[in-house]
Formats: sequence, structure tokens, C-alpha cells
Amino acid sequence: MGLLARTGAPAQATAPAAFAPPSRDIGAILITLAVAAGAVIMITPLIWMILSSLKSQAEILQATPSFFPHQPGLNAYHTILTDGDNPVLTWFRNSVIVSVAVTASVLFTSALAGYVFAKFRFFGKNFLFLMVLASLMVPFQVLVIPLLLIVRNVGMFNTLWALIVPSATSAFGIYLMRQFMEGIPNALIEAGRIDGASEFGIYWRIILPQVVPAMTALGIFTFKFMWNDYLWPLVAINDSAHQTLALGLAQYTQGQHGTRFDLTLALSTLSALPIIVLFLIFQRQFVQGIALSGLKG
Amino acid sequence: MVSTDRTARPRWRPRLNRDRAPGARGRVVFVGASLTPIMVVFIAFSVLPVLAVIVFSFFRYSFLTNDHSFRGLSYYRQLGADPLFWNALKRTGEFVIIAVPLNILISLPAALGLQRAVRFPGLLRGAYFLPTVMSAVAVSLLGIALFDPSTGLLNQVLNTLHLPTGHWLTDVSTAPVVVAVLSVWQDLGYNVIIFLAGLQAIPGDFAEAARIDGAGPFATFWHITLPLLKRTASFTIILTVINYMQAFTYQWVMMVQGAPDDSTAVMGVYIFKTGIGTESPLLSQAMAAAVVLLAVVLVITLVQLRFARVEWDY
Repeated sequence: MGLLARTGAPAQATAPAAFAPPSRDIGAILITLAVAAGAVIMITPLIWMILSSLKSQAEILQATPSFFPHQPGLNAYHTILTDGDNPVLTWFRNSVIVSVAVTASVLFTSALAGYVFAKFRFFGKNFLFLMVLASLMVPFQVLVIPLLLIVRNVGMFNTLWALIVPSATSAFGIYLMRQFMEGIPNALIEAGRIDGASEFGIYWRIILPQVVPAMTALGIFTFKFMWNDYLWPLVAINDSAHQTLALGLAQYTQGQHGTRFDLTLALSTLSALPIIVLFLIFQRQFVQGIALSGLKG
Repeated sequence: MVSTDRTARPRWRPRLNRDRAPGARGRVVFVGASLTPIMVVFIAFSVLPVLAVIVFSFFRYSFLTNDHSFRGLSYYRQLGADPLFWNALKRTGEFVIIAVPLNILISLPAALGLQRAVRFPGLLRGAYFLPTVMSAVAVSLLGIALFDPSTGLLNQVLNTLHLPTGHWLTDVSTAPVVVAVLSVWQDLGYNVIIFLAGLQAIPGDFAEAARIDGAGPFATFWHITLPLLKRTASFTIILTVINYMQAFTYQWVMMVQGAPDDSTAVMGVYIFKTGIGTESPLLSQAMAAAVVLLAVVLVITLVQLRFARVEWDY
């Protein structure tokens, strides 16, 4: 576990790039070409997904299908959005509600708990933080049945609350924010105290602005994780009206549309679109978030 | 863990309970009022379930009856007698053994290459990272289409090249490999970024010194970069192993509940199939399986931490 606490160190160092700066010698060009070839392989399935979603089912089933659609169209998208049996827009709304609520809650609780763990001494602190770190190692499958029993007992089963409340705090978030809060000089806090600010005022007005980059990264991760989560919604939700997009998507293929690749690929594209847009806007923070934390979202 | 925490303790100490300095009361109230609700939710939904799964695995637990009598090890005995459980352990191990080396053997060279790429470094990084933002469900559906015997991209490409095609998802011998390849394709980008960060943290002087001493690029990599990357690499491998031991979504959605012939029915699939997604759930037996999974993850993590210990710093 000491390892988890240590990981920030190598990544946070801002040493100049190792090794010789990019040069134009033949070796560097060959390396770039190899990396570019890998990048093409990485990206091809995604492009194929988008292009295929613009094809008609007839074109997908052709004996000699082509990579690019002959007559690109949005028919598949029209079909899935107007499908009365599968309320895609409701799933979309549920995913937005759950992801936004959990992201807001995780940001609030992680920053506050991270600050308290980093800058205060109190009875039981080491024990509580040890618990937070230890829980990082527990696979979700281990928790899933007791969580289901808890959620049933408190009457949250098959509601969006079941998806929000258990994720309202995050061990990863608390750990990440504590790492960042430790870097804040104590003099800042002392100065706030001398000026007569309340403890919460110091936290809210002096500390929080210092950790905006870390919170951005944590927020993006949490949102992405909740948007894509599948196992817990599969357990906690059992009717169509409360499904999230990821859950609905999986069910859609297992139903009568399993062989309609135009529809399933259109729905896959649609479900990935918000996150891809988020990624394109926040690519820097995404990458920094992983590099800084060394943990997976 | 405790020792790490102690070294990180701030020099400045508010001494909450003892001193009567102005503001001490405010600090106690702040810590208590902010941390208590957070910890209550955290313990209720993240700590309690771990204790519960261990305790409940020794008791009878069912939605149908209120009989919660103590059953000792009987559910562990049932588990031991279930060939599907042993299959799940085996399939989880198989998945980890295929997917972890595949991941590291692609992500480490990719990071090394990306670090030295002379053109479009941001764009190239983005390409390796983009699949990680997709949901495993969406990638599963993409996988079903990609590996479709007649209309899938893979067989089309193989056809064009006059290579043998296959029924990738329904053939017992290829299915576990296909799942591993798709999983690695999707989350390779995380490790690429972590390795890149690790590479960038290595001071440039070391490689410079090696170069002056006449070391070629390969010798520099082998004798300088790789040893210095050991900390990042061992950390990355441990996390990747833990992550892949929790495999579920591809096996459940793309392979349809661990098919063909339970060849992709990993522990996650077994726990879900036994305890939740069935007409007559065997809750206690599924929880016993969960305890076994927890124990395996803990033991593997501790063993790896022991082997991955690094004494130096720079």
C-alpha cells in the first residue's frame, strides 16, 4: 500500500524530457512511422464503427462490403431514437442525471476529506485513511451482493438513487485530493486564520482555488466512469425506465436487434459521443489526471 | 501504509483537543462536521459490504427465507464441488496471463516511441488514448460487429489478404484470446500515459551520461531506462493485474454470459451468474466465491509488492 501513496512522486516531477530532443535523424523518423502505424490500428475500429452506423443494413450485409458507406445516411439514428420499446432518450437522461450527481458529490466529498486528511491531526486519522487506501484494492465484484442487499433494505432498489448514493464518495478521489492538498503551504492556511476567516471559509476561498486542476481531472474521470458503468446498474436496476444508456445499450443487442449492426453501431456511437466530445475538450486534463494519479478511472 | 502516512504528516500541528489556542474549537467543529457525513457514507457503501461479504459467506442467506443460520464452511465446500467455480478461477488466470503481458508489451514500446515521435505528438497520443473513453458495453457491441464471421471487419481484411478467416467469438479456442485482445485494445492507453509520465520523470542527465560514455540507443534503454523505469513498471503491472482480475463486461456482453462453453466465464461472470442473474440465486455461495476472489487479489498484490520493492531514489 505504501506504493499507492508513493506513486504521485515519479509522475509529478517535472524534469526536462529524458533523452535527446527530437531530431530529424533516420531512426527518429522510423520510430515516428511505427508509432503512427500503431495509432492507425488503434483508431480504425472506431472509424469503422462510425462509418458503419451511416450504412444501411442492406449495405452492411452485402457480399463484398466496403469500408466507406456508398450512401451515408442517418436512418439508423432515426430508427433508434423513435423506437417506442426502447426509450433511448430516457436512458440518456438517466445517464446524465446519475453521472452529473455523482461527479458533483465525489468532487465535493473528495476535496473536503482530502483537505482534512492532509492538513489536520485528529483521533483515528491513520485508521480512517488506511481504510480508504485498503478499499482501493477491493474488486467491485466482491462488494456487489452485499451492496444489493443494503440497497434493497433501504428501499433504493430500482431507483436512480441506487446508482447515485453508493458512489457518492470515492476512495480514489479522497486519496488523489489528499496528495494534492499536501502540496499546499501551511502558511496559506495560517494567513487565513490570522485574517479571522472561518475554517470552512479558508477551505472554500483559499484552498479550493489551488486544486482546480486536480479537481478537473477527478471530475472528468468520475463522469466517464459513471457514464460507462455497467455491472452495478445491471444489478441495481430492473426496468427499462430507470436504465442508463450503457445498460440499455447492452440490453438492446441481447433483444431482437442483436443482428442489426447498423442500429447497434449507431447506438454505440451515440453513447460514446458525449465522452468523446468531453475528451476532445479536456484531453490535457484527461492525460494529466492519469499521469498524476497512476490509477485507472 | 501507516508509516507512509506518518512521514507525510505536516510539521505544523493544530493539536486539536489539547490546546486552548483561539480557533481550536473551530477546527474541531470543522473536522468533525465535514468528515463525519463523508465517512458514514463511505463506510456504509465501501467498507461494510467487504465485512458483510466475509461474514455472510458463513451464514445461510436467501431472498426467500428468513432463516439466517450459521453454516460454517458449507458454502465453501459447495464452491469446491462446483466445476464451474474451478473453471472460473482457471479462466480468470488465463485472461490475466494473456492480457497483462500483451498490454505491457504493447504499451511500453508505444510509450517509448511516442516519447521520441518527431511529428504530431499530441495527435498520436490522443489516438492511443481515445479507445479508453469508450464504455466496455459500446466496445463489446463494436466487437460483436468487428468479429462477425461474414460482415465483420476482421474477416473482410483477412479475406482480402487471402488468409484463413474464423468464427472468432463462437470458437472455444479463439474466444478467450479475442476477449483479451479487445480488452487490451481498449485500455492500453492508460498504461501508455503512465509509462510516458514515468519516462519523462527520468532525469535527462542519465541518458546524456550514457551517450557520452558511448552507449547506443539499445544499450541506453537496457541499462539506464529500463532499470529506472522499474518502479513505474511494477506499479503499472500490479494495477493491470488487479484490473484484469475484475474482468466482467466483455465476457458478459460480447461473449454473452461467458460463452462459448463457459470458455470466457471468469470470476466476475461466475459471481453474477450464481448470486444475481438467475431464477434461484445462491447468495451465500456467490459471496463465498467473492471472498475467494478478494483473497486471491490480496495475496497476488502482496506478493507482487514484495518482488517489486525498489530501494533507491533519484
